[in-house]
Amino acid sequence: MVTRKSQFRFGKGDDSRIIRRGLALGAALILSMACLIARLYYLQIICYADLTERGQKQQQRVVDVAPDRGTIFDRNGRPLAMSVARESIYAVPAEIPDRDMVADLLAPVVGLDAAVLRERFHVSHSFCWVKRKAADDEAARVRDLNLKGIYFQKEMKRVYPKGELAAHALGFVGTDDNGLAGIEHSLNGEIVGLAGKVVLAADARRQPFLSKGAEGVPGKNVVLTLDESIQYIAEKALAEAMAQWHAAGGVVIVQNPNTGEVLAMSSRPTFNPNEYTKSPEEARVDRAIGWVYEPGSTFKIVTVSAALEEKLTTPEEVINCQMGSIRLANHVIHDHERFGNLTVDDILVHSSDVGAIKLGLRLGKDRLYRYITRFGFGEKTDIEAPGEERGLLKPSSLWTGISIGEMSMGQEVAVTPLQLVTAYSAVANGGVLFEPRLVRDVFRDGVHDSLRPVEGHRVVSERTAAMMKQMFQDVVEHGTGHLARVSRYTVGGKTGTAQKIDASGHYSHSHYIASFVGFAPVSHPAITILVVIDSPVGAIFGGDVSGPVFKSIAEQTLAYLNVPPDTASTLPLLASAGPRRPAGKGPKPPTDDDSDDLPGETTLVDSAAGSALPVSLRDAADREAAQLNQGTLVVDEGPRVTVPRFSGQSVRVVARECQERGFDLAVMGSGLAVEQRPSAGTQAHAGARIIVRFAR
Amino acid sequence: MASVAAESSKPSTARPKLRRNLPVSGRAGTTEVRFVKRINNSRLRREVDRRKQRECYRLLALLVLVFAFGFAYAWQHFQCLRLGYEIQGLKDQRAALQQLNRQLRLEQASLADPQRIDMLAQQEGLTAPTPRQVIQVGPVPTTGSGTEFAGNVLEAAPAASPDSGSESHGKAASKEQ
Repeated sequence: MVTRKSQFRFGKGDDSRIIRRGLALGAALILSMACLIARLYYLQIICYADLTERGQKQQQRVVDVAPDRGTIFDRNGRPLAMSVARESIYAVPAEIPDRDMVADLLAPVVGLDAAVLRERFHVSHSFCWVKRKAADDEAARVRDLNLKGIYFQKEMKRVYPKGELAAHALGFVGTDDNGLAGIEHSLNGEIVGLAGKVVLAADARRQPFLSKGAEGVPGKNVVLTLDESIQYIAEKALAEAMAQWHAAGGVVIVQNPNTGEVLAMSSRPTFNPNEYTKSPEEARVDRAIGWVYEPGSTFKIVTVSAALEEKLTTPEEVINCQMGSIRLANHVIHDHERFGNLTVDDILVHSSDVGAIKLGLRLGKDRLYRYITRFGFGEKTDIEAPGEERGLLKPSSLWTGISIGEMSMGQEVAVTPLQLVTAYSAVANGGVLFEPRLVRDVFRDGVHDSLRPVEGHRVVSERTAAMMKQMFQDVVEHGTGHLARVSRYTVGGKTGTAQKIDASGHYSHSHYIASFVGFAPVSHPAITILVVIDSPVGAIFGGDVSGPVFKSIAEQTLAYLNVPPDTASTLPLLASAGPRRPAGKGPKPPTDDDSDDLPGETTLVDSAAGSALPVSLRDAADREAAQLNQGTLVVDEGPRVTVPRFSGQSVRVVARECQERGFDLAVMGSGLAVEQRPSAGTQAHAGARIIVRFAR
Repeated sequence: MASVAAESSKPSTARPKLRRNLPVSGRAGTTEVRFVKRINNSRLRREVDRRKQRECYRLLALLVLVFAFGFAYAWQHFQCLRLGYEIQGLKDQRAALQQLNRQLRLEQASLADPQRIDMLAQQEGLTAPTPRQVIQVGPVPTTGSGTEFAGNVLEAAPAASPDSGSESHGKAASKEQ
């Protein structure tokens, strides 16, 4: 014990050294701990916000979700404009090791000039676009290059799958997805939707494993009143007319006269909204609403309607047209022909300006002005599309002495095509002017916005409208609009030929606006169509230039809408198959189409279908049809026809056979005929209803 | 005994042993016998300290709880990560399918372009039917007032096949007007 004790015995000096060392160690430990705590305090308390942010930046990725614009549909739910996601390629130049080399690599892939890319890379260090909304294959090829500092971001691209179809009505959107024209612009607030911001938590390999945040609100969908098929019919007919007459422009509007809904609205020149930057600015002007012109004789609808409504005249009243000239306020106005005495009906049929001026004078400027405004001229129609013009209409207080004459025949006043077609729709539907409409519905997730109700106000009485319709029908059947006649349907309308004003401010003698406005069928109008051709070459009259366009559109549209024919002429012509038709009176050899379709038939072919016929033959056919139309004997029940056996035949064959025999076919089901009533062999009158059931 | 022997065999170096039967003064150098009492305490049971036992259990339970919490936390954390990846994968899949759906709808709309169909029809030698070739079958719109008539006509107009959700939606919307 003593020995051990002696081993650990320290001297006095040793103890103090140990104590000092211990103290030093303790102090060092305390100091280091203090430093550590201080550092921790600095990092955790003072730099907390900054470091947290930096950490989040490393761990999280913020992705902007582009706003998803709603889809625009036609009235049958066919998409006309929709959005799809596209990759936008951007660069962070500071991260690019060799900017020039990357620019050279990217340029051919994205279809840009390498110099442009180089400049972009050198202008900004933090961000620059390489190509926005690149095509899928472009983005894939850039991704394959695996370049450092090149990134991708999803953006929505607006696509118009039908190309130029209804381009003006739809409009287009800019690079930032904002509507710049058409419905895209006027309903931008509803369609555009809200952008979202999603925070993605990513692991060390930048693989996202968690996301939070708002994904954005999609825009509302819009259903237009346009019908894609009718729109195409109108655009095709207009394009053909433009090519035929080498015209500077043109407009076609098809409207439902009973609601004001616009079924088609076409304007030329046009553009492709997918590539709107490549089109000239004038091509992007919607002439249907943003262009005004002097309507010419089509404006006589106001003068004559007003005179009839005010009971200042009747359709049968004879008016002296003074052999084609009238003096007004020291100006002599000449008619296009030297007419003597014409009835009011004939004034419209032959489009006499002097007759219209005389009716306007009877009205007086105040009443005429009142009716002009009542028909909606001089005011915007408030259609949903932007850029609408109100037209040019002077208040009656500013009219000169000649103004009343000019306005009576459609000069000194400028209208938009939409205003004019709306006015004709008012007469067509019995006298009520409906506001034209382009938007039928706006909805999102089954919730529908409330739209303005269909509103109309009466502009003329039903009696006046009925008289006007009859006179317009006469214009087509006997007057300047005869080229607008449609087979099996009655058509009412009015031609218009207006001189354009040239650069000197005078009426041009070389540039005209040829127009035709009409509706069909006259008894129960389903469509109103306006055709305006600007500066046609080779012909100037509305009846010659625009009438056939109207006919083409009306024929196809009425068939497409399955509107029943309202002229009885076709039924006896088809049913008679020869015996009732006066021999040698205007028969027309069947065309190729007819002979293919109806073998052996020797009936009259309607004049409208046979436009290639000489006028004399067409007139003869028309006269015969008119004779057959006269009186009450429309379908002669004299001879009976044997009902054939339809069993095993297709709908097409049965329909053709029934048509040939003049039977009224009622189809039940589809496939092949399995049952019929009355049974085969029964003697039935032409016009009898045959019910055939089809099954597969 | 062994101890006794051991004791006895040991040389008395420290102090002389005293005899018992001698007075204390005369005991020096006497042999001392020590009896070892055998004690069998194997049957003895230690009294359970309930309080300490409870404390022990509590401590154990606490440890288990802490461990369980730790485990649950870790499990939850990793499960969260795993599900996060899974959810993100599904979201990506949904986005890709939505994109595909849009692309297909766009393709469908492009293919249904009337201009394209017209061109194809012309290539096939098809022409538009003449008015005489158009035969109306089935129910036709009734004739009544102008408004009723046109309304019937437009409602009876051919409609696109509602083969996509949005399209059918649009149609439904139209009918509600």
